[in-house]
Amino acid sequence: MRTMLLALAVTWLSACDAVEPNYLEPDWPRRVEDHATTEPEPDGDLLVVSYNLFQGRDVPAAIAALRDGPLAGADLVLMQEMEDEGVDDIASVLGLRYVYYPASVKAGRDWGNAVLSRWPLVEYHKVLLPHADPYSDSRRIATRATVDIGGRMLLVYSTHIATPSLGLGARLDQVEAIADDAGDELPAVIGGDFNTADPGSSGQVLELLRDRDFAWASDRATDTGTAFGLRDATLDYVFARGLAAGASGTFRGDAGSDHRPIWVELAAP
Amino acid sequence: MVVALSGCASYSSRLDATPLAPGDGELGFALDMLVVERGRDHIPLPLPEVSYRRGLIPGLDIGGKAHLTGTEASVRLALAERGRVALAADAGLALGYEPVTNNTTDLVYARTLPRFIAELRAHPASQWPTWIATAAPSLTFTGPVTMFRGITDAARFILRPGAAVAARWPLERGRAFWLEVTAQPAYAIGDGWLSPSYQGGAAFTF
Repeated sequence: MRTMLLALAVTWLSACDAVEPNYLEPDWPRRVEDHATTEPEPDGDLLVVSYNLFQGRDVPAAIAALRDGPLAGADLVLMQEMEDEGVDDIASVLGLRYVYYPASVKAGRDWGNAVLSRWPLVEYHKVLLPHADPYSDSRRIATRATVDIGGRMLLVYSTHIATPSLGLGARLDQVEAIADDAGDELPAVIGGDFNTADPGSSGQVLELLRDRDFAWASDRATDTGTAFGLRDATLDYVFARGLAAGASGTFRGDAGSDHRPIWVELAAP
Repeated sequence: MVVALSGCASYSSRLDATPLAPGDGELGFALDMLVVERGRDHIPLPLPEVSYRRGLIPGLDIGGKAHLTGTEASVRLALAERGRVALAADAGLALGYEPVTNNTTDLVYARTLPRFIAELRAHPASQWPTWIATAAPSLTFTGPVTMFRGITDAARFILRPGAAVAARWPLERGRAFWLEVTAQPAYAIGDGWLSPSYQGGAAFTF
């Protein structure tokens, strides 16, 4: 009940926000860098991390979280709410390649998604998701990269679905747009912040992607954030198609964010 | 709590074809269930509503109703009466705000409401209620909150060829008990058909 009251208040307050400029060009702006110093050897498993770093601010905390503990040595890091400088700092410290697209400008800062990879990136593009936020006009995207895992291609998406100020049907349309972009030929990973804070939304997202042959690979990575600050909720997910999922979990240390990063082990394609 | 639970748009009519006599007033309280699309499913939402009407001149009254995020005003005019059958027309305007929709950005709206009402009055000796059928088409101008900042590309018109059926049972001292159901197909001009909404519930007037 309090959740819904707070949601109502938040949407009213959101109406007072400034309109947020969007980057609507098909493939621009973009930043792609390669900080890898060694070529990885296929060992049969992939460690995938999804990490929403609040407004991309606490990059040192993110670097620390990604260097030790269950997130260390990740093959793929899917980041959200990032600026390009923060992505580059993380990639350079960890020796990763990356592709980054901003979706919009929020509070004067670029705000976008990145795919960081230990493996070579052979293709990338931005998936512009349907429906603008009715209060801020902001648009959402998924950053897609095709990753070469020892000669096998893997599609990887880092996304940030709209908040519940956009209706659930519209958010499902956004998820469906990513599934459509993924086609059905290559194994694929979709990860990110799905903003399933409102009751019933998680189930409908899971059902939609299950119908598109994506399994909830991070099903043991729960309570990754809060529903409007009132209760723990699972907001972040990794879905996989054509890859066997192993262990998964939620990082409980200091992540410098209002989300807890999640990790999942996948069998390499 | 009531705000949090309530539905955010109302499609009820709950008008018969007999305008109030000059000087008479009528207050009503209703509790409906609004069934709307959410995600790929439909969900019911409770929708409390209050209404008031007052007779101005013979055969004409004015009134309105309000729910928690919207209001409506209308003028009702008697058209014809023969035996137990009466006909009336009602012209109204509704204004409102829906904090969240489903797969649209139609948050703020202004809706014109022409209604055509047919009433079959109960025989005085029978236990049957008075039956009311209402053709309630509407035209809505709607869009996101960003309309107020000049971003109007998502604003649009929606036609709803809606209809309602109601029954009214007279009670003591001029009170009445109502049951009504309404169906509201929706066609967004330029965008095609939207998922229909349904509303039904009970009301007391006195």
